[in-house]
Amino acid sequence: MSDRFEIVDETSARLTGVGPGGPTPGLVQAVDMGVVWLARVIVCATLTALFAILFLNVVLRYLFDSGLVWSQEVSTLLFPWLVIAGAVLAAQTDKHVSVRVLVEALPSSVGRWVLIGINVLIVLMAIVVVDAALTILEASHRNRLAVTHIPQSYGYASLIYGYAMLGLTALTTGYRQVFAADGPE
Amino acid sequence: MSPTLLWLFPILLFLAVPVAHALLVAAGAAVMLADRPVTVVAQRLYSPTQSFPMLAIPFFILAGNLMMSGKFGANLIGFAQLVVGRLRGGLGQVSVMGSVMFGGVSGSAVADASALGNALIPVQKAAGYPAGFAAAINASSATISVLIPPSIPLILFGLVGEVSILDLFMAGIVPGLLLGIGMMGACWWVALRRNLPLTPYEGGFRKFRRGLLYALPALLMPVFVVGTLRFGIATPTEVSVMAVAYALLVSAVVYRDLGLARIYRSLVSTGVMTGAVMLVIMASALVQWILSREQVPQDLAMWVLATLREPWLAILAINIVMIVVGTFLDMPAAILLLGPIFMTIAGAIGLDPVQLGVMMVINLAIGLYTPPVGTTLFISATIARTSIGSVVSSLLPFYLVALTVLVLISYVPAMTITF
Repeated sequence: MSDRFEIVDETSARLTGVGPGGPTPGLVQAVDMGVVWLARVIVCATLTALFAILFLNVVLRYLFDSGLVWSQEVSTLLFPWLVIAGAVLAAQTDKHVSVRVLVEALPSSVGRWVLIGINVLIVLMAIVVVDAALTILEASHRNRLAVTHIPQSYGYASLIYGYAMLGLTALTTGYRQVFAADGPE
Repeated sequence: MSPTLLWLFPILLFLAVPVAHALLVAAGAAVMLADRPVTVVAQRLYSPTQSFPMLAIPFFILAGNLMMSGKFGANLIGFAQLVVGRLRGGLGQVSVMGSVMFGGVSGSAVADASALGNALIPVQKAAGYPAGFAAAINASSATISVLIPPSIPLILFGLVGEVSILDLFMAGIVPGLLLGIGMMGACWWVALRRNLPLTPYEGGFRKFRRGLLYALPALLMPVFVVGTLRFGIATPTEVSVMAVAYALLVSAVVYRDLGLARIYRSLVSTGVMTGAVMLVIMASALVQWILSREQVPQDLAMWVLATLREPWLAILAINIVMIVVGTFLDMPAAILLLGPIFMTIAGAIGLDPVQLGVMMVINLAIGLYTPPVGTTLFISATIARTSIGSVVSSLLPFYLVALTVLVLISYVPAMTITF
């Protein structure tokens, strides 16, 4: 048994594996790389900032009986960005839970087309969510948070970023399934 | 809207659409077909991310990631080996005891199954344990962690059912320990029957004392979590943040193995786990909105009461539904979708909501190592390089233990007593 446990960063798995075939493999790799890097930056930045703000608040509250009045507002503004960027990384590493019993029981060529169909569905879903979030974004831009006066739309923008990236990830995943070098992923 | 949702969601689920997307597509289609404004979809999706107590989820995950990586996790296993390793079936019991202790820092069964499985299954196989049995121990015992505080599923149930998270945490301890003792007994029994080899005991009291000292920071974590909540010192979110600070401090000062690379990997891994859990929660919020708007929980509760009449029958029905749903759906989605429905039924039959929460988590935990969709089952079978079938046949004694504890929790309210 090893004397230590290691956490493995799997978010570059599809970037380091065998690349896709088809007409634009370089573009697909570049898109995935961009999506992963941006999501990693957002996850690390928001989680670190959230920890710093909340920890400082705890220290101030218990040691000095004071607190940061803006901490809750800023936290609830950063949290959706952490969640959605994490969800994008989870999509890139195939970590979203799904029931694959039926698809795995199908002949591989049929199963492959079902998986391609799922990615088309996710792209359509992402378009609907981005469109709905854009409408709310416009409506909420004038609404400002009580203490910090930050527009509420800054939080809703995370939905637009997130579902655009989930849609993009579904596109590159679908591409990889169509043009997989050695069959479906 | 709910009929569209109820037929479309299972179809998408069985077509391998990820749970979060299947919920969102089915609920979104229901909203659009009912001519409701599509902006509702975005509003409801966004709403769970505005819940301040939900922030406890990423920080408990981060604390677990920081504590389980590096020397911390290996020391914990080393300590478990010192305590129970020499007993009959000792290497299996180390897995169970490790899960109880890991549960005190991580609160995620999937993370535990992966960490403990990678560390222990190869050792168990090398010692002569059949691969299916080694995987079965890991798949079932990893789920104990969702009952030992801090527990992410119990936090979720607390939020959806408006039940005290502290009460849920405390109520989870006895069932978690009972499961641990029962599963250790199962390991002993199987080892005896199959005549599995004993593991020689190495080192004396000095080694034990050293192991205890190294494991102590992790063993104190659940005490710290429950203690600070119990005495009203901090809220769950504050405790989760302090748990991260505690993990950083222990790694830096006690184990001296805290590096930027480890912090970075822990942050990214926390992001992935948080994103996967929260996306399901976000989509479930839209489903919940539809169901509560159409009073589905109330109608279902009335139907159950009219049909089953007796409370014990209603409790049995709740358990059967939860266990069946748990084999298909992952924990967060099942808790968020079934929680409000069962809370209504529990209110009508006089079932304590805290008891219901613990019942729900035990049921859904069984689903984690039951086909067709068992996350800890798949992880363990993959690590052990064996078939799902061989793991399932070795799981029978563990199912028996879990079902016995479930019956006790369901019909003996004192088992989930809070103090």
